Amino acid sequence: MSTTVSSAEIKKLAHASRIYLEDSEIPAVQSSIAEILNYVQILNKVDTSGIDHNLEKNINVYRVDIIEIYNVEKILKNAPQEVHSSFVVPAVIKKSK
Amino acid sequence: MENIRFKTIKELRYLLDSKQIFISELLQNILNNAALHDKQINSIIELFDKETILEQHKKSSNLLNGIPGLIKDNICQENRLTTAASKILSKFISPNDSTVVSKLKNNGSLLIGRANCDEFAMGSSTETSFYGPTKNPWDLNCVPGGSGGGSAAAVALGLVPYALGTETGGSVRQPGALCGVVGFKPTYGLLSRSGVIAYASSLDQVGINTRTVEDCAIVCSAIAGKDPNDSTTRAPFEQYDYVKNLYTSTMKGKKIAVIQNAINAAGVIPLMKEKIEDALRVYESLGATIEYITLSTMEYSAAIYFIISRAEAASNLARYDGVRYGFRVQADDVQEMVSKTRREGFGSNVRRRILIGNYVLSSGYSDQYYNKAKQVQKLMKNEFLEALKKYDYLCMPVTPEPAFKLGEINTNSLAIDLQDYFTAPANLTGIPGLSLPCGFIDSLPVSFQLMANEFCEQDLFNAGYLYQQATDWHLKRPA
Repeated sequence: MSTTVSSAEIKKLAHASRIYLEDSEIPAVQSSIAEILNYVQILNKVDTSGIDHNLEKNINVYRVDIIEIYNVEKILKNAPQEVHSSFVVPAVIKKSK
Repeated sequence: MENIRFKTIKELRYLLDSKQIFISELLQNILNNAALHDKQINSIIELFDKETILEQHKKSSNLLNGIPGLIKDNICQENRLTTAASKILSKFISPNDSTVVSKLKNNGSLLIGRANCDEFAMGSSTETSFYGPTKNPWDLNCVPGGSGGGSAAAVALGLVPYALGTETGGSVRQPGALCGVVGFKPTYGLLSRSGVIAYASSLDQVGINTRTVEDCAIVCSAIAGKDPNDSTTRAPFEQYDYVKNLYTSTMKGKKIAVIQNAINAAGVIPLMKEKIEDALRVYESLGATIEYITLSTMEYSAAIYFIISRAEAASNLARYDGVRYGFRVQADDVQEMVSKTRREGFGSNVRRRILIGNYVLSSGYSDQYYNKAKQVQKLMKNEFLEALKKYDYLCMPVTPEPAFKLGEINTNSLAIDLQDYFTAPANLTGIPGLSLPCGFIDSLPVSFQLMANEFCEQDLFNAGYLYQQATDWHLKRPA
């Protein structure tokens, strides 16, 4: 099982994680991930046939479906930018230059 | 007025009830001590001002009325900055109290500030805090442990009788051990996680640092119980008094199983093993029997923890995007804003963990990493719970050696996480754990830990209380 991660995979990962990464930072991330992946190979020694971790006895906890009104001021208190009780963000779609 | 540093909850209660001191004076004394003794240690990120603390005081007939405590910076306190020791939340003011804080306030406790920790509770040394590292009160060149180094150090300094922390892989017990104070992690589901900044939701639990086990039991009694705001709370009671049973408890007939492949693991220094065995001799003299067992899944503790904690962290930290709260980098479009905000707002350790977490969850890899880790976790839980059918307690080291030096272990490397090797099993299996100071090596404190079956916190508190009645390690003070 390969524990090397290609730089293309790292770029995809950075995008999925929404963390901007400079190209120059990729090798350090590659080696960091490889170090952990190498260590966790130890788990391949374990016979887990027949173990289904999804068969936990879990109980669903419900609450009554009622409308709760929250204090809008509280919700907006920490907003980096807000207007008319809405959070303001830059354009969702990139402007063509 | 006598110095109230190092006083226990009951000692402070006595001073208050006999009117030898009033709440306002007590508070001023505590704040003065904190300002004076924490300068070099940096255990407290923010010490609140007296007026606002007293404004929030709710008089109560509980033991905790007027008793000061400290809260780790990843547990929300209403109208206070709650930053998880990060830049991305550096200006975040919590609109609400977390449930555990709310319960402490309802019991009349005075919450005096925010304890320092590793950023987003990720780490084992408190070196990754955006607000600078915390130093070990026993040796300023050493780490206090982490992620909850601030909580443990403040308690070790005698600034407060208790501090709340959180555990995901050992972040209350390990700093407790390195700072010579009690570190307690309850059963998963005993304490509410509502208002606790999430790291790995299936592992996170609020924990407690104190100098005495009695104080730990007092605080736990105040905050334990089901919470409708946290559906993973599953204690079989609404409230519980862990304190009253301490005084009539006994170790006679109790069986302690020492995990021999843990106590004999590479890296555990001979002196550490010796101190733990000294503690076991104390238990034998109290009537317990000691046996040695092997729990083979111990070997996988760190590997399982690495994968599961990072995977869940990647998911939990996705919410920090600069949209509704927190630090934001301005940009022309949302994608760029979010990516640059997270790049600048998170420290390198946190960014690294998110990336790895998403990797082990990604298509093509989740089976071999995440699912495999979950399966081995199930095996580990089965093995530990099986052992706890035959034995009342499991015993093993908390750390392989005493506190290491600041800067000694690269916080981005694997080595820092291997510090969780002995503590992570309790988080991974959900069982409660208690670390207790049991000696010194090279003038640095060391501890051993006991674990018990689910919801057997009373057993742990009893064992800890009896140990502290028979020994005096918990009475030692840093210079």
